[in-house]
Amino acid sequence: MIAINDPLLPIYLQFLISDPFHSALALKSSASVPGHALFPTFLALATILATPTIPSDSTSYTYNLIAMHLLLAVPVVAPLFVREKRDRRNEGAILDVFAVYLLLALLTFGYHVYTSITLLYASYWNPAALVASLIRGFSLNHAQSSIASDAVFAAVATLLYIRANNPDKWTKQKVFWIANMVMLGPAVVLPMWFAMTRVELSKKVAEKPVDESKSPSRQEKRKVKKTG
Amino acid sequence: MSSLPTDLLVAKLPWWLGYHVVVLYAVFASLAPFLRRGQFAWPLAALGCLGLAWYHIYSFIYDDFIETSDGDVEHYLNNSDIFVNAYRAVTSDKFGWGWSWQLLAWTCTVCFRIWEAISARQEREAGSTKSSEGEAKVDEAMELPTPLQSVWLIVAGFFGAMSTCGFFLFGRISEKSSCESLSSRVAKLSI
Repeated sequence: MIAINDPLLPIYLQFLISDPFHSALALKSSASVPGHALFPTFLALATILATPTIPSDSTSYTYNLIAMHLLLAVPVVAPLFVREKRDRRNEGAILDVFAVYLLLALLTFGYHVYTSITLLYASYWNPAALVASLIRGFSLNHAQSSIASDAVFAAVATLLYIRANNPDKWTKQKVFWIANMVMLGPAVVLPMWFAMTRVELSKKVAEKPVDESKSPSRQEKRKVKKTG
Repeated sequence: MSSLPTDLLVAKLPWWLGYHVVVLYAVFASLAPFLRRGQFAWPLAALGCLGLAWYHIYSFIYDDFIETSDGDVEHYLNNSDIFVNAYRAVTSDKFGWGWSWQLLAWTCTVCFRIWEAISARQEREAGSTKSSEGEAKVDEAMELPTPLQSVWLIVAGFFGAMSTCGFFLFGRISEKSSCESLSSRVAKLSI
């Protein structure tokens, strides 16, 4: 599965970067996601990706695991103590949330490529051996089975959520999303889909005409200025 | 096999019970909004994930006990660290890690999405005090989790199973409800 994915990497990179990036630039936002949500998210990702590089019998391995869980919990627990300030997250907050998801998608995608190449190398560049080893890796022990089956359920939950939020387009796009899920995994697909959803939303907002019944038009404003 | 060290088991029992009470309460707290609305598909999937995860967790603890303690309960309870041992088991093999990192990195995005849902709710609640139009939006905002409900979601995920948290979260939120307030603000900018 991962082997099939490798020739498609340039296409995915182009797909991930081009359209969302230009749309994001077009919005010209100045606001940002608050630090208590932004930094823990990326630091947590760093601790996750660093886990296999730390010797498992060292104390730093345990500290890394504790730091990982605490950092993951910070964005969820922080709103108990800090109310999100509207003025700080005001203008164009979509862009910033979008940027976080895009960055998460790119980082996980990059790590997926690295992992794919590493595993392919360990399988002597034999895709069939790689698939067999991945299947064996699913049930190495009960802890592994637990986390691997959890990852499969996470993929299913993600696909169901995409379907539930995109019922009109699902019939046309289902093959695309299922193929992406199989080849990239839930870690890449979820932030990728969130980023794409926000781009589509920003486009709709940009195309949406102003509701004249609720707010004065520019012409009306000019008239008021002239008469005033 | 040595006899069961009753004192030690009694000393550990409150922690063991406490762990299960907290997780089960977190699951129930996450389940309640679905039961109130009569929705069962998402919670059933969430409970299924939890059941399978816990089956594997208990099987792992049993295997870990057999392997590391030679049947000595006292030695196992005093010296083993199930949490770290479980992570060692899922990071030691390259191909196993190929599965494990997917779930852990997915969790990262889920936690950030929970924050986004909370902030959307708080924005709507703040907006509702300013206009009558906002009152209708408050009802819709109830779909989004409160900060405390989000904590229970993440407790169910961290100590139960992360996909359980995912099913509970995805069953509650929608992209429309979370992004609506943001889009309305961008629309104001474009005026």
